[in-house]
Amino acid sequence: VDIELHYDPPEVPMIDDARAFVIEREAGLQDEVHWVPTLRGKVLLAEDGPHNQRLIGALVEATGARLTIVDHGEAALEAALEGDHDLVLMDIQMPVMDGMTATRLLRAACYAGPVVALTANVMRADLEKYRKAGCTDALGKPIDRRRLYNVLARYLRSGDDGGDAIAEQTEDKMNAVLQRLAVEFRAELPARIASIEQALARRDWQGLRSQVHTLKGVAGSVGFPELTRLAQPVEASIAAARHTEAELQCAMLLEAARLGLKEPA
Amino acid sequence: MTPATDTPSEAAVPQLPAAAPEHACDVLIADDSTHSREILTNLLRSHAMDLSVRQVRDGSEALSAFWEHKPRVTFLDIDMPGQDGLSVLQTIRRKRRDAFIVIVSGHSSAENVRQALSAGANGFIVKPFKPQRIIDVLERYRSVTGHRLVASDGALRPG
Repeated sequence: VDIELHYDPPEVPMIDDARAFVIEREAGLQDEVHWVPTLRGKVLLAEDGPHNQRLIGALVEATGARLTIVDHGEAALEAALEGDHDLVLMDIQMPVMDGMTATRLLRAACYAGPVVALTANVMRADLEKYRKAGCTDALGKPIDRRRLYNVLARYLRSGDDGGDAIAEQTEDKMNAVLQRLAVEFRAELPARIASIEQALARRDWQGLRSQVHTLKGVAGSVGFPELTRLAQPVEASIAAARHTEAELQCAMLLEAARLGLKEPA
Repeated sequence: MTPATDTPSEAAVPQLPAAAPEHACDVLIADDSTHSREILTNLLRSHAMDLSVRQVRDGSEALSAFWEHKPRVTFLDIDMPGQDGLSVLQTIRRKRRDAFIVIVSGHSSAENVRQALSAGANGFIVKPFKPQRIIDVLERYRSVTGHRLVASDGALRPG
């Protein structure tokens, strides 16, 4: 989209997601994930992956906030301009119109509400790109429940009057969804392994990269953080055309995936 | 020649902020729906009480009112009889790159948004109006021009 915008991006300091993530891990706080804030407000989620739609959907709804889901950037642009959402969660890689373009157009249209980028790429240079497009924050994929809740609590009003019974109910519902997602991931894992093996055998690097990218964005949120960690270098090596290295790293990833399947759920 | 304005309320034009004396009114609203014009006027005044607002009903009235009154902010409905909002925007933009113009539309189709922004709109808002989007426009005007739309004491009411 080649549009001259009458707009300068706001100088909003973004949270360095990658760094925050590491710090939390080092401090040993990763396990402390049982907090569910009670919130009020409207959230617009623009995300095309069905897994993350359901995962983020369940997590947001457990807070009491209202949620609308759209699955590409144009729909996000239209819904944001028409609605009165308190927060937009914007996936970056989407069909029809990507999240950066949608955010840029929203900002050019005067939209000033918070837009948080959802992305598997959280290197400093990536974060700078999102900020320049007008994003106010970024959340790394796979979605970390605690980080998501921190972001939601920052932008939505507290709604502490729902009563414990309701909170318990929504939390049960959420846990049920999370469990189902984990079971489904496990069931789909052999097929994912097979298609990664096939792409590797064909030396189809772009196909391999996209398979590994999807795996990276999902595995960590359903109890396979190791797979997300091992997928990262594979993607980086393919991007840098270091194919021998990518093959070795991919072998480790596949090995870990097969081992993971053998462990009891 | 003189555009038909239908706002008796603006007879008592308040003092203009000293910062930009070339503007003879704060806001120009061009929309063929009386209802829409009134709602937008009320929303703007709920945030900036003393705004002087001119209303016109179509594109050619919008053009003459623009050149006559040099509004600080112009709202153009995209769908007006005669000249539509986009062509008014383009005409003004050819001579005044610095005019602050917002396109108003009943539909937020991505295509409309793209067209308006390519034609040089400073903003795009959708009917029915959402108060927060009006505040966004006022804030953007302030950050782009460095001026508030109203004198500091005529100020923003809480809430």
